[in-house]
Order: sequence, then structure tokens, then C-alpha cells
Amino acid sequence: MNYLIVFLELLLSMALVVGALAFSRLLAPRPAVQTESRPYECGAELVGNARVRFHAGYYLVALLFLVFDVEAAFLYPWAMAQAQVGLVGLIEIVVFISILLLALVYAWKKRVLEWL
Amino acid sequence: MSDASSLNLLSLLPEMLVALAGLLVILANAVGRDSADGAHRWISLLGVLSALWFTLNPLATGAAMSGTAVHDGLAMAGNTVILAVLLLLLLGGESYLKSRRIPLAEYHSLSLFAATGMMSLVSAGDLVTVFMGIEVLSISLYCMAALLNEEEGGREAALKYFLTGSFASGFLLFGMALVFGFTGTTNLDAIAHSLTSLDTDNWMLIGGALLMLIGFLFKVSVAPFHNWAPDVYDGSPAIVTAFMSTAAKAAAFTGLARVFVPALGEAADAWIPMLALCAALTMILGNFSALVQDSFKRMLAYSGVAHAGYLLLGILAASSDSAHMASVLFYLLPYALINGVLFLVGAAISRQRSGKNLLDDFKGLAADSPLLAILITVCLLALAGIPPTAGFVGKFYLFMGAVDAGHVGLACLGILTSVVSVYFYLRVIVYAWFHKAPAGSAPWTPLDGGLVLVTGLSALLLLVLGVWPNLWLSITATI
Repeated sequence: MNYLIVFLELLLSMALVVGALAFSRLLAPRPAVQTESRPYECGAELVGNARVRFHAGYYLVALLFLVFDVEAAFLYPWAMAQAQVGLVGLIEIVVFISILLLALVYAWKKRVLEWL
Repeated sequence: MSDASSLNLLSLLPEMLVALAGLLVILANAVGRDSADGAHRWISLLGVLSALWFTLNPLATGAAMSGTAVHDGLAMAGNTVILAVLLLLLLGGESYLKSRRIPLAEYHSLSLFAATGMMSLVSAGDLVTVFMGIEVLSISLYCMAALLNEEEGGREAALKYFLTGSFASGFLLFGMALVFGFTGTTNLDAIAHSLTSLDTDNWMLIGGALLMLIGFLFKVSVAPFHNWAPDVYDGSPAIVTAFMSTAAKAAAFTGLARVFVPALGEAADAWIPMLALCAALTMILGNFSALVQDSFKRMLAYSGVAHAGYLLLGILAASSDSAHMASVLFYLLPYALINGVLFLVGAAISRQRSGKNLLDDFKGLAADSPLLAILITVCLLALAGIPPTAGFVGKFYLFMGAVDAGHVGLACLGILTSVVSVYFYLRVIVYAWFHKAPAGSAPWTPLDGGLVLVTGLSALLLLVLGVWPNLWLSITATI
């Protein structure tokens, strides 16, 4: 268990990041024209700042997505082990999914899905 | 210990009942009509009462879920304290919830989920369960702190609690990772077993133990990790403060005791100096900061910090002789009841006056309502540790345990700072009995009968436990 190697690698990786940033700062040419510093130079006009406020609904939809995401993450291992865990496993996964489903019902009732 | 490979689901019945009640509250809110507000309360009451019944009369005990949970005396005592607080708030908090327009379904379900986390924490048999329990209780409490987010301080409290709490979880998790790295297991029994044969003078183990200790000390608001507590307690709704300062603290202390005394007991040399230092600092800082507060809630918050210091003395004592664990568990019940009552009644009294939870709101209370004045007098005297209340017995056992374990200096410091604390507790009592109500204050309207009845019974229990401590000690001493 030689952790010195890990520590050295940590130092090296930090040095790499700091070095890359520092060199590009030193060596990179500064844009002479204002347009060059814009995010995309593919011809399209900029429509505004990238730091706009997003609708709070995105956050709720992301949370709802999480419900299904977690469900999928647990369903696959269960499906693979279905033969071994048998009926007990089936009951457990049904309990688990009903709890997740309850979250969806609650969100639905609270009109989270109606913002679009 | 029973067969570790079995599920032993019956021993987890209290947790499951509380979690089920929480889910049913959400379901009732989702499918029921808006007028069915009483349903939330009845479902919660039913869940808590049945869980309390099966905690005190367990159908099965011992290890469950392959040893990740253990239902022993420690779990039983911890669960009883948590459920008792929940019951107190359910029975006494209705008028507060209604008057402040707190969303009922969310409040009830979140408090039940938080209680589920706390109960998993006190019956944890594995570091992973410890972490899961702490996270479930913390995340529920972060949301509960924000239940009145329209009000001044509500959002601030929730955000501060969330940020400091997640920071503390990071420490806890890293500490667990190091302990796992050293011992090769996360099971608490297995850790204790492996430490008997390993050299405990190892940086990985010491670092892991200390990082975990920092995480726990954050959660129980021990100095120098206590600064979040006054702001969070002050900004959260009083009923949530009553919950987080009592049940959550009791659960975290039981968890701390479970992880450090049996599991990391062999490595006690590593963490005892830090624990002793923090206990001393906490008793001094907590009591002296409480002296200068104008807000009742902030005063109680600092008093809670100071009491965390006294409870640490009990953990120190338990690390040399595990019989002293009973003194920690004994004190948790009166401490939780007193603070639950004081936060609830304090908020109700303050609403009649300034509404800002000031100490001045208690002026002239005895003239308006002698019964309430007696109630808060009993509770504050119990917090100060004056006989014949349970607070005295609890402190007596804690300090005696510290002396037994050889921490005489710390015990003396505890007694001296307790004397300091008498000043700020007595100040409220003096305001209530010997001052006149400020001119122009509105006429007194009697408080909700249920609140007075439940808090009165709790205060009575404090006196009963002060005279016959064996009623509760006999349960806590079975560990």
C-alpha cells in the first residue's frame, strides 16, 4: 500500500491543470477585434448573455426525471438477478416502485406537470 | 446476537410504521380533498403511537438486514426519545401549525421521514446505515427549516443549515472511508473486532476517527462547530426548531455513542483528547453566549449547545465504562421534552406580545396566566438542573460519570458553567413573575387547550422522573 504514488499523481495532475492554464494565458494571442472574444464565431449574431435565469419548472422536471432515473438504475440489477431473488425480490421491487410512483402522483397532484 | 444473515424484518417494525405513515400522509394529500387536513394528523398519530408501542414491546430484537441494523437497548431508548418528541409535537403543535399556515401534509410527512432517518441512525449496525440515517434526517430537516420561506430568516436558516450540514456530511463520509480503508469493513461489530488485533496507532485510523467525530460534532452543534445552530434555530418555524433541537440531537448523540464507544473504543486514545477539548469549549462558549441573548429562541439555542457539552461528558465516561451510556440516554429524554415544551410554549406566548420571540415577551406572564408561568418555571429549572426535576438527576449522573472516568476537571467545569447558566434561565422566570407586562400590550387570550394539556403533562413527567428516575433509568440501563 504505497500511497506516495497516489499523492505524486495528485500533485502531477494539479500541476498539469495549473500549467496548461498558465501557459495558455502567457502564450495565447489576445484578440484584437471584439468579435473574436465572443463564444461562437460561426456567423450567427449573439442574442444575449448566456447567464439568463431559467424557468423554475426545469428544476422540477429534472427532479421528476430523477424518480425514473433511480427506478431504472435499480430495475436492471433486479432483472438480472430475478432468477435468484425470486418472489421476495419481486415483492421488494414492487414496494420500491410504488414508493417512487407515489412521488410522481404527488408531483402530478401539485400541478408540476402543468407549466408547459 | 441472532443470526446475522437473516432479514429479521419484524425488529424494524417501528421504523417501517413511521415511514409508512409518512407515505400515507403524502398519498392522502395527493388523492384526498383539500379539506381533509385532519387526516394528516390522525395518520401521523396512528403511525407514531403504533411505532412507540412496538418500540417498547418489540416483536423481535437483535441484528436485522444482515447486521446493518441492530435493535438493542440503545436503539430502544433512542427510538423512545424520538417518538416521544414526535408525539409531543403532534399533540401540542396543532394550533401553531394552523396559526402560521404551515403546509400540513408537507410538515407531517417530512417530520415522519426525518424520524425514520433518526430511528435508522440510532439502530445502525453499519457505517453505511449511519450515513444513510443522518442524510435522511438532515435532508428532511433542511426542507422543514424552509417551510415558512416567505418570512424573514426562513430561507436564510434553511440555506445555512443545508450548506453547513452538507459540509459536515463530507467530513463524516471521508472519515468513514478512511476507517473502512484501515479495517476493511463498514460493519460496526466487525470494526470493533478487527481493531482488537490491529495496531491502532495508525494515521489512517486516527484521521478517520477524527474526521467522523468532526462530522458528528457538527450535527450535534458542539463548539467550535456550533455557529450554525443559533441562526438556524432562530429562523426556522418554532415547531421545527423544537423538533430539530431535540429529536435530531438525541438521534445524533445516540449515533455518536454507537459509532465511537463500541466500534472505535479500541482507538479511544485517538479521539478522547479532541472530545474532551470540545466538551470544555462547548460548555464555556454555550453558556456564556446564552448570557447576552435578547431572543428566547437564540438563548435556548445556545443553551442547547451548552447541553451538548454536558452530554459529551457522558460519552467520555462511557468510553471508559460502557455502563455510563445509561446516563447519556437518561438525560436525552428530559432534555428533549424540556426543549420541545419551551420552544412550543415560548412561540405561543410570544405571539401574544411582540411575536419576535424576545425575552421581554415573558414580562408579566404570571399575572396573565399563572399556569403557564408555573409550566415554564418548571421547565427552565429542569434545564438549569435544579432538584427535584429530572434535569438535576440527569446532570448528576453525567457529572458523576465524568468523575468516575477520571475527568474531574471537566466535571468541575460542567458544574461551574451550570452555575453560570442559572442566571439566564432565572432571568426568564424573574421576568415572568416579578415584572409587569409592557404598557399597551394586547389583552391576554388563553392558549390552545391541547397545547397546555400536553406540555403540562410533559412538565409533570419531568417532576415525576426527578423523584423516581428509575422509571426511565431502568429502560436505559438495560444496554
